Amino acid sequence: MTVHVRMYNVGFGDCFLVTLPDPRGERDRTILIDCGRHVGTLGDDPPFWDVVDQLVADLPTLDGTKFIDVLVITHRHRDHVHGFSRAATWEDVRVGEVWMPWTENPSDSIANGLRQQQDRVAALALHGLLALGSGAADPSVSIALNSLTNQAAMTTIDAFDAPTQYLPDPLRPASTVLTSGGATGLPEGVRVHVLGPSRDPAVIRRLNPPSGQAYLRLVPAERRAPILSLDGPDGPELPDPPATPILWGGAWDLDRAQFEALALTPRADLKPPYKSKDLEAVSRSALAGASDLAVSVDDALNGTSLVLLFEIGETLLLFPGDAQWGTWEAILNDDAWVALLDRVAFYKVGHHGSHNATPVEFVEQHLHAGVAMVSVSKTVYDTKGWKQIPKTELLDAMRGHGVALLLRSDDDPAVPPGDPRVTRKDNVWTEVALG
Amino acid sequence: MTACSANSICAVARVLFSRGCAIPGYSFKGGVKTAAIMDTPVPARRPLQIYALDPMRLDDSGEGFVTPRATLSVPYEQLSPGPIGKRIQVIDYDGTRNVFYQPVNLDDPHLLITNGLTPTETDPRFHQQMAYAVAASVWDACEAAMGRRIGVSGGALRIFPHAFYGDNAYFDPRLNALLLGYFQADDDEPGPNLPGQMVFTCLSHDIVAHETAHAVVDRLRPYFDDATNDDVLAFHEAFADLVAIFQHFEIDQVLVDAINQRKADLTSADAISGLARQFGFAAAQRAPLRSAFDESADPAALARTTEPHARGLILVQAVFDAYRTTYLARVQDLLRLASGGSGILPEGRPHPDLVHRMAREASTTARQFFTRCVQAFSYLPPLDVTFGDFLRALVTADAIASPSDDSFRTAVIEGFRRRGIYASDAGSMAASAIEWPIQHIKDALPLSVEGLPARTAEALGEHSPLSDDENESQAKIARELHEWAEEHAAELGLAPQIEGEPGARPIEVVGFHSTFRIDANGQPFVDTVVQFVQARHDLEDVDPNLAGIVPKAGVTVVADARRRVRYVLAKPLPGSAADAHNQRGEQRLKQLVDVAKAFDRANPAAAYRADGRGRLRVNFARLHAGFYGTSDA
Repeated sequence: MTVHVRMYNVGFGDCFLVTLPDPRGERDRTILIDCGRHVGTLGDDPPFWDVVDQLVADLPTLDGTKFIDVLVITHRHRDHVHGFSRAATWEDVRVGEVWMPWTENPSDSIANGLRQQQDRVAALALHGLLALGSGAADPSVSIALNSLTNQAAMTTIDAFDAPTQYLPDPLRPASTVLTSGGATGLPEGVRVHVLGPSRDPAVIRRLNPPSGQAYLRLVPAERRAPILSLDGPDGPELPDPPATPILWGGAWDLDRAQFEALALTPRADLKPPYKSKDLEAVSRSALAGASDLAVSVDDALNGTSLVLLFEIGETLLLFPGDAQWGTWEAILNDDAWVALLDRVAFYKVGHHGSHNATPVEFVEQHLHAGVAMVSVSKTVYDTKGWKQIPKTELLDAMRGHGVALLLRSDDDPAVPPGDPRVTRKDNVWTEVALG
Repeated sequence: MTACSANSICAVARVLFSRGCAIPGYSFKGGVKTAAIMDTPVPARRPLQIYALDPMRLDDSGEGFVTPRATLSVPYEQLSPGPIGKRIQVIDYDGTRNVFYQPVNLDDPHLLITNGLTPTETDPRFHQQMAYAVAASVWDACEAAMGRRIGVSGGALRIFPHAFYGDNAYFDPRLNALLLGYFQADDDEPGPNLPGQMVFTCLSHDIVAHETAHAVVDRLRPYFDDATNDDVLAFHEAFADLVAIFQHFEIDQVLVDAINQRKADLTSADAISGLARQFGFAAAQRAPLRSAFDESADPAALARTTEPHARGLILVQAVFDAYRTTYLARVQDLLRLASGGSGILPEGRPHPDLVHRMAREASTTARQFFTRCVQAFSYLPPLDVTFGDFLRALVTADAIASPSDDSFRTAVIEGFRRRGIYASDAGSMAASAIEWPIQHIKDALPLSVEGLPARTAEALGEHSPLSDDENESQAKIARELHEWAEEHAAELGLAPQIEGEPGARPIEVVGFHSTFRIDANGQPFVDTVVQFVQARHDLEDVDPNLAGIVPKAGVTVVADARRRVRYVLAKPLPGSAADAHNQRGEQRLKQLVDVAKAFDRANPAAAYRADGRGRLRVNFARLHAGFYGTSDA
């Protein structure tokens, strides 16, 4: 019973293809978990759409059509779904079923409220940043862009016309453990535990970003709706910055020289009570509010991540999406789940290795997995100032706690992996055989 | 009871030091006797008009809608347009638009006659005037209560009244500045504001007072922006709220209006106990931002509330509860007099004389509370403060100022108890047990006598910078204090130096100040307060969660006029030579690790940014925008 996990090199994003054998010797099953890339990924090596095309080409065929048994969308961030925004790429692919977090369920009123708020605040943060003078080069703008509705991608996923499960479903207690019975096309003997997102009100509260009220008035009414054009396959093309209000019509405005002439002339001994760098700091503070808002929505959306634990015989695989502490806390408080965590053989490192998506307790007390994979991009951590993604200390700690094999999507393809379980295709994908 | 005496000594000092050289003189030129214009005394105070609360009108109290205005009296100093003075400097630079706005010249003769500009939203120069007036008045009130100058050497406090577009306002310790935002009110739910109206946080008395108070705390206890436990930032917020609220009682019109509305129990009026009304309404909250008034004290709330504002509000409500009890007890006689003995006032508006007398009780009591809250700082540890520490410090400050009347202390202890706040490590609920215990150390503090005059002058209000000689003598005192601390490390909860590793456990003398007050016998009362902080680089690697956070021990030592130690308020860490300190040190270290973990989880930005790791340092910008933590409140 060998399970294969293949990590595609999508830059800063996630794309994992899991192949499960069938114990009765029937066909292997294919599970695709996410496919996206962050706007913040600079450069194009390998080109994103080439990687997606390769993925589609790699899919097995069933009855003459490319087929995915289960498509898992952990959460609606661009770096997890952007690959679906080009509908043409997926025209000839069939999907057996789709799993998404309960927060995407259109008939769940709490979910709808959350999504509405997240969409709205992401748009406000983006417009706020642009209005306050920020541009494409600002990492905060890319964070805001990552959290927009990503409607184009979601439309493609909808068009697969596959039965969709929103997990966990409070009306179906059984939905916390999925098996081959019922709707799922999983091989017999495989169990999928749904560990998150939690429906605990305390966790849900964290999914609600601050209102971004101040930016509302900066955005003309027609622009408050989610910005579809930015979600397309070739995006984003940033909209024109909205205008900030001009206080008193500019009647009291002075430039710096004028101000200093007025304020400092009466007393010869007086120097300006500020330096240029102070004024620059004040200007930056104007952006900080919108930037924090963008980070906040980003965090809220990460918190909606579907957390799945695949139990395939004795081989356990953990895919936590980008789940944050709220979800983790709920998991670590559940003894049955903790017992499962202790047996995990493969860990998909949460949120590209950021430290707040993998709790220290989990690493130190429960992580005995021999293999972990982390999807990262040099262009992000080297040039965007996100030096904490991945967090080196976290990766070191995992190695120190039993992760003998830690594979990164940006590992140099020229260096042999040195482990017979690992296969590579240039810099396009890395695969590990488990069990 | 003994009224707060700190104000009086400062008033005397102000007159002494601010009197100009009013010496009459004549001179003879070319045989003609000419009279020189005689110098006039330099005024001690400068009156300035403000919006009493903010530009939003009060509820209809039966006399139509009014927007209360007030005139604040702030210490006089010569001001350049801005206003730019020596201690407070308003710089109207808009960081969003990258422009400056016309600065107000408060020394313009026209404005000197009219107490400054009349309150208006449409002239930025009034905005500058109001921000200056509120900040200067808060700073002055804190100094008067403290009995010493605050932060003369720390550089002027800067105020940017229109710093940026955004619904936020905060104190930035690195810029040493208040950054006040402006934004448009909500379209759909503006409350009493116009939909889309521009809201200026610099026109909110409470917001400016709150942010100024943050700056005061930062000067008094610079390590309080190091969030080493859940209470630290909450205390920062609570103190700032308390300052803003107790300032409401200085504004007659607000008081009178509240008493007319609510009769005896004016404390429930929004204008008194509510904070930042316009801001709250503008953000579609349908209420002031926060309210100190809360009858339903829930002792369990503290344990489940971690977001600093919400947690701080519990402390605010505890103090305010004590205020209400004290005030109501003090007006009982008035109410009986006015009601023929029943204590129940008849229908209709209270008699204006009664309103006036009740207003006086309300403001006297408020001043006492405010004064104690500020004086308590003398008895707080230099870092890692808890609400329980604050309770003990409040009780200690009051016991010293008012030994025979314990009504304040009992009211405070009860108000805190009702919200589950207990004195740290105290044996019982009795006031005497909650007071910090007297702790002697054999050797007196080594404060050289020659150093004190400069300090004293500073305390009494000399603004001129210290001379080189004075600076040298200050440095000498610091060196001697440092040596003293190393010698007495065991008693202070500090760890001994490690042979051959001079940088492992450095001790910093954070501050040494003498405060001057009048005691219960009318005699001058001097406290000398020294803060030591020891960075423990040797403990950095004891737990991976600390990752870059340097654990710090600290101690505040309070000595009397003869330099004899009376209080030792220690926050130890493991490694002290004294067992008791060591034990508490182990607990503190464990707690620090837990806090470091929680800090990372609660801060979404931590994933992307490397900042804030050297210390668990607060970012007031994010804090005030509501980005940290969660809470059930």
